[in-house]
Amino acid sequence: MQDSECITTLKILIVGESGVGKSSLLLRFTDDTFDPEQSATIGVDFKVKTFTVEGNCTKLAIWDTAGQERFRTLTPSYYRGGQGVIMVYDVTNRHTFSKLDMWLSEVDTYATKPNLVRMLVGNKIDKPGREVSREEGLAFARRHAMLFIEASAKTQDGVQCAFEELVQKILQTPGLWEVDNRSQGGGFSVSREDTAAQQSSCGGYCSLV
Amino acid sequence: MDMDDFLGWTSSSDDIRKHEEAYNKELMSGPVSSSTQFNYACFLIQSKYPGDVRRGISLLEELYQNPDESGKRDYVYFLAVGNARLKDYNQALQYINGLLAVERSNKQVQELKVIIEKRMRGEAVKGAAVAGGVLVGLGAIVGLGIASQLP
Repeated sequence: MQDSECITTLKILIVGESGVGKSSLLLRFTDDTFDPEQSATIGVDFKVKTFTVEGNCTKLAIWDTAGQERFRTLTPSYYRGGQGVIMVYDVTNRHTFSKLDMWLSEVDTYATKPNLVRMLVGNKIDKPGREVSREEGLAFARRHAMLFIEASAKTQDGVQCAFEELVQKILQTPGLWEVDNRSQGGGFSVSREDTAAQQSSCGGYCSLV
Repeated sequence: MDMDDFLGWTSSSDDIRKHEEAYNKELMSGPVSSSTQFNYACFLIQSKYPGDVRRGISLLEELYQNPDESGKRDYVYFLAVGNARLKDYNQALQYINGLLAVERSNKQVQELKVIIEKRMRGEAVKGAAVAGGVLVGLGAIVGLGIASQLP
């Protein structure tokens, strides 16, 4: 689809500890590939993808931040104006789950849109040796009013769904996004929540909290 | 927000000022830590002012020359970004190719290379268009000259 037909451009951030699979999730989403030898991100990476949810074309500007400690003071500057954030942890590494509070406060401090939509993603469910149960992840998400999904960038489980639910939720949040001036006004419609539930390809996989 | 890639993103002057203050504070009390210098440099090279970008590049070059540094790949990557933002694409590609020699399959670096090459071609087309415009203009003047000589 042409960019000019998209109703809006949305800024999405991906944050979380080093090695949880942020870049891998993004790569699976944008290129449908997986690299087991994925290199650590330098500073921040950026990708644009047009994505259609329920007939609404959106242009996603996705900022993939480095999780490594030495970039910790660099990355928050990229949070400004973010309308959605994907917070990732590794279900086989409890440490990455216990650091979520820190990531939440970081996002709250630096993201400028108070009503931005937050999604929690427990990645690497394909791997043996799980240390964080699905229930724990869900409970954390509930406590902080986040969307939640478990996923695997390797097997692609839940990846598309994570982005779909996030974009849907952003589009349903009044005042969070603006219609692009470039698009021809009037020619689009934003689906309402009730039709959203029926049409979602994710079925019962996502937990909307 | 009109940008399609990382090179099009510009840092705000607030961000630059914040990191500049941290840098100057450390500078007054002794040697600056590499992370403070790196952060400051990163925001400088994303500045909309070429003077800032050049300063960022020289700070990164300084870091790169320090033999103890472990973050060399980070410096080289941002050196490529800085040079590309100054439209010194050949220099930028040299850094990128250096990085790819070590990390051949690094997608982030590969993609930056694609962006730089795309911009290089864009500049070439723009250059050709300007040259073409000059030719058309000259043609028109010559044409006018000929026309004015007609009875």
